[in-house]
Amino acid sequence: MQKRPWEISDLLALRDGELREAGVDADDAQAAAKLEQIRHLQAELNSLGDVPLDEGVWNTIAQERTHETEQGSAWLRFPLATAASVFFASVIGIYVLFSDIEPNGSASVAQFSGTAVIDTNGVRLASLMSQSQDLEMRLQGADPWARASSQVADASLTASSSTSTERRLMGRLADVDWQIARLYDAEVMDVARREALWERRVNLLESLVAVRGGTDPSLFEDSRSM
Amino acid sequence: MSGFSDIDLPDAVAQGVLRGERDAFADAYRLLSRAVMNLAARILQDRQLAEEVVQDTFIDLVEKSSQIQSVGSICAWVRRVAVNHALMRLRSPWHARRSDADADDIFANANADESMQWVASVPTLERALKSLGDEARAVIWLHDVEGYTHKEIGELMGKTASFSKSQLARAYEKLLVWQEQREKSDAAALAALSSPGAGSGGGKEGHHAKTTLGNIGPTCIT
Repeated sequence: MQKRPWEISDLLALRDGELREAGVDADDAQAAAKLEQIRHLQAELNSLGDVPLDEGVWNTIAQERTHETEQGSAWLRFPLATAASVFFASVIGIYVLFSDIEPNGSASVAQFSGTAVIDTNGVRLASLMSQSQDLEMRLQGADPWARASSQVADASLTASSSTSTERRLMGRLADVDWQIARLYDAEVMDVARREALWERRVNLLESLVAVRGGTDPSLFEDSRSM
Repeated sequence: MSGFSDIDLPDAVAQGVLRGERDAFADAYRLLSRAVMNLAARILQDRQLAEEVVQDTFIDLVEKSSQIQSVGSICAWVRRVAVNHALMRLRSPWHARRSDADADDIFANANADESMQWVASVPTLERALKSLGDEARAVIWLHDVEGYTHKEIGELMGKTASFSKSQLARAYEKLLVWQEQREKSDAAALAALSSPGAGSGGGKEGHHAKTTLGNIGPTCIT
């Protein structure tokens, strides 16, 4: 039997079967009534109605997928050009790789190529991070929220399509930030994915700057490519 | 309400999803989207954001269905992805900044917050849910409706099981206060109806009181 007064957390633990040996005594009517209220509320939560869902959501997904598939198949539509590009890129890569190798240093091949990859990635990533920071500063410097509230009277500046695009862009940014944060939590860093995510972040921020600056919001459509 | 526990994904649809068939994705969307929408809208309390979660969840399903291990785990996978998308939006600084802007819009323009019109037309428990803090609301929904354990919720939110338990208790403390107020107002309405003065003014006034109370709910008038 419980001596101290029943807390909500105790009652919840009791409801969830975490206090198997304990129980609300018959004389503890207040606790029993509260437990019943909690059960009733839980049942009410489970019986809330459906939230309406716009029927166009699936069409948006399907269109987006079709758009991306078409973009992806561009290489396949020109197989000879693709094969030629891959061939020339390989030749140039091999030439660059072996042109600086010393005759007696087979081990230096791996060293050379590894360093080059790391350096290239580092520079590219740093550049993306810097761009990202600049764009965020531009967005903050412009103080869009303050500007938006001062322009409420002008209906043309608060058009619903613009607001909707901004919302979507900010949702995507949050998504990318979350994915980046998860990459840093991982045991082994996926360098290529990190770079791709930072690139996407920059694209999204550029689109957001463009949308708030009154440029064509369709820029965003191309930025969601991952 | 459509929830994940009510959904039985037909084997043909599930197999088609794993094979990456377009029609199967459409069927999966038809069967699962409402549950995803309910989950996201209750956690986020924003219909537009919830629709984004639905969209992103099913884009993930289309793009990453090869990661799903078996037909039996599709629903759980979709729910997990939807929860992640919803929680990610909830804790994003972009979400907080946008929410501030929404608040400005609501006061500046009566028509600005169209996405929340559904809340005004739903039962009052929905509004009580909305009044909870973001984390408490997410925890009560994930634990008491979706059936996640405190340990799982802690992992999803990057916190501990104890955090989840304390948020659940906090949510119920507020909801119990709300329920007490609701019961008091129901009782007061009943008392007003049964008091001698309520029907003394003749048929019209008494009839009006009864009609008004009739809107409160079936428990008030028998």
